[in-house]
Parts: sequence; C-alpha cells; structure tokens
Amino acid sequence: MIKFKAHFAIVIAFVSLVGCTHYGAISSPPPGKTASVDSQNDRATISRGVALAIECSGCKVGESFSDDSTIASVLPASVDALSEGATSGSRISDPTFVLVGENVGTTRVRIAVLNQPDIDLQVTVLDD
Amino acid sequence: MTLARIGSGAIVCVAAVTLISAGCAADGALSQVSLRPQCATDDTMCLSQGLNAPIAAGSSLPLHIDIHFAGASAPAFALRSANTDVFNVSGATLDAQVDGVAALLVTTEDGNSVLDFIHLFVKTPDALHLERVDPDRRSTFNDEVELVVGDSVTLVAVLANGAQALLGDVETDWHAEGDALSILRTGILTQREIRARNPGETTLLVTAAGLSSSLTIRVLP
Repeated sequence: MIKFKAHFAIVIAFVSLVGCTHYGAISSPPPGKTASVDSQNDRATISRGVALAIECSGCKVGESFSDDSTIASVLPASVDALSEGATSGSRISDPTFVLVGENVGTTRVRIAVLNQPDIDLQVTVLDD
Repeated sequence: MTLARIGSGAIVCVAAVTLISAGCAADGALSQVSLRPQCATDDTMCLSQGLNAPIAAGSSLPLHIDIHFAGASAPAFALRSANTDVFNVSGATLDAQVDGVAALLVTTEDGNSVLDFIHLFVKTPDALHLERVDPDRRSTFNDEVELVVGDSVTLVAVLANGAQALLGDVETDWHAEGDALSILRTGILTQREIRARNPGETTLLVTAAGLSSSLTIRVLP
C-alpha cells in the first residue's frame, strides 16, 4: 500500500512538472451576445460588457494580465471548489479566471502557466 | 414509512422553506452568488419574480445578494458593471441607463478577484400599468374601482415592455382631481395607498418615465 502511494505521488509530480495545460469556457454568453474561446488557436471573442469564465488546468490565474485592460480585462475567480488531489468525493475544479469585454478592439491577455510558456490569448471585443 | 420517504419529505420541506425565505433568486455563472431584488418580506410577488425580467431603463433596482462560499462566511464584496453605458452600480443598487445587456461582477472588496457574475438586461419601457397590491398577489384592473368612504387600496405602478413587466423603481407622480381621494406614500417609490375620503367620482392619473396610466375611482357614501 505504501509502495502504491509512493508511485502515485511520483506520477502526480511528473505530470505537474511536464504540464498538461488545457483551458476552456465554463460559462455561456447571454442571448444575442458572443463569448467564446478557441484554445487550439489561443483566441477569444467576446461582446462588449460580457463576461466569460474560463477554467484552465495548470494556469496561475493570479499572474494573468491584459496588455490593454480598457479593451479586455482578466481577473482570477475565487472558486470554492477544492484543488485537485486535496481530497476525493468533492467537486474538483481547475483554476478559473474571468475575461471581461470592456471596449471594442483587440488586445492580448497573457496567462501564466506552471512550468510552461505563458498562454498568449488574442482577445477580440465586439460591439454586437 | 421508509427512511427514503422521510428523507425525500425533508428535502421537499427544506426546498419550500428555502423558496419562501429566499425568493426566486438568480444564480451567478459560477453558482456562488444568488441575486434578487430587495423586497418586503410580505411582498410575495416581488419575491417570486426574482430577476426574471429586464430592468427598466431609467429605473433603479436595489439588490439583495447572497454569497455561498463553501468553508467560509461571505467575504466583503463589491459590485462592478462591465458596461456602465447599460447600467451603473451604486452600493447594492443598479441604475439602469439604456437598452442592452452587461455583466454584473461580484468581486472581492478590493476588486481583484471575481466571486461570481451575472448578465442583466436593460429595456426601455413602453407602457405603464396599475396593479392592486395584496399580500399574496397582485391584480390588474379591467373596470373602474368603487370604494366606500374610509376604504383604502394599495396600488403599484408597473413599467412594462410589450407583455413583459420590467424590474426597477422609478419616481412616480400620482394625481386625482377633487377631494374624493387621499394619496399616501407607502415608502416605496412606485406604490401609493389610495384612501377614499369623500363621495364622488374621480380619475386617478399616474405618470412615470414619460408614460401614464389612469383609473376611474368612484367613492360611495
């Protein structure tokens, strides 16, 4: 049993070091508005005044920032979910941040990732 | 009776009590915050409507906000509009500006972290309706009203867009010719208590947000 736990811990540590970053939207836009993220091409499109929650494994959401926060701002979300590995049987969630379309235009949001290059998300804010 | 039945009954009771006490609140996108208009505890219509409508442009809407954060009491929070052209925030009150939709962000007090958010619609009203307020319901009028001297009725002016009643409070002006009626403020911007004073017939005229509505009231001796 102790040997199994040791192996499991090594696997977890290895995964953490290698990193396996993936991210995606976990909220929807209101009717008639746009809010989507394309993780394959690191692009997001969002309507002015709309917010989008994005879950991102391996991300350090507290160290994310926008090149131009007057166009799109990014804020970490305080979620009450338990972090992966902290326990079992409870809701498990990845770090989450909220993208807000502030004004029409295009900017870049840089999201820090554990042991990997930052995600360079191109954000387009629409006036739709 | 099986334990399962007892359990399901308890769940129903808890749900009913929760519904009555909390009203029909709207949940944020992260399910950590629920929001509803501030309502008198006996105004079941207000409680049950929740945020199930756009807010009338030009009106204000005080909100009641509950934060459900597992393992912690509610932290100090702040509210921010994602588009102040659509609505502004002052304390816990929204001031609706023009047609549109924008996110209301519930953040930590310093504004550096989001607890939750919800998108709210604002719509320009095109009609004003008068409704009678009773503790457990509201009713509209399709005929004139008769009161006996000393009787009173509480009315509310409701802004609407098409068939949809809108949320929000606006300044309302209430006027009736003659001395048949007394019009008393109730402490709620859109409500008045109408008290029959002297026999006669008069037309109650209510205006708000550039719209008007009238009701014929006959006071009997």
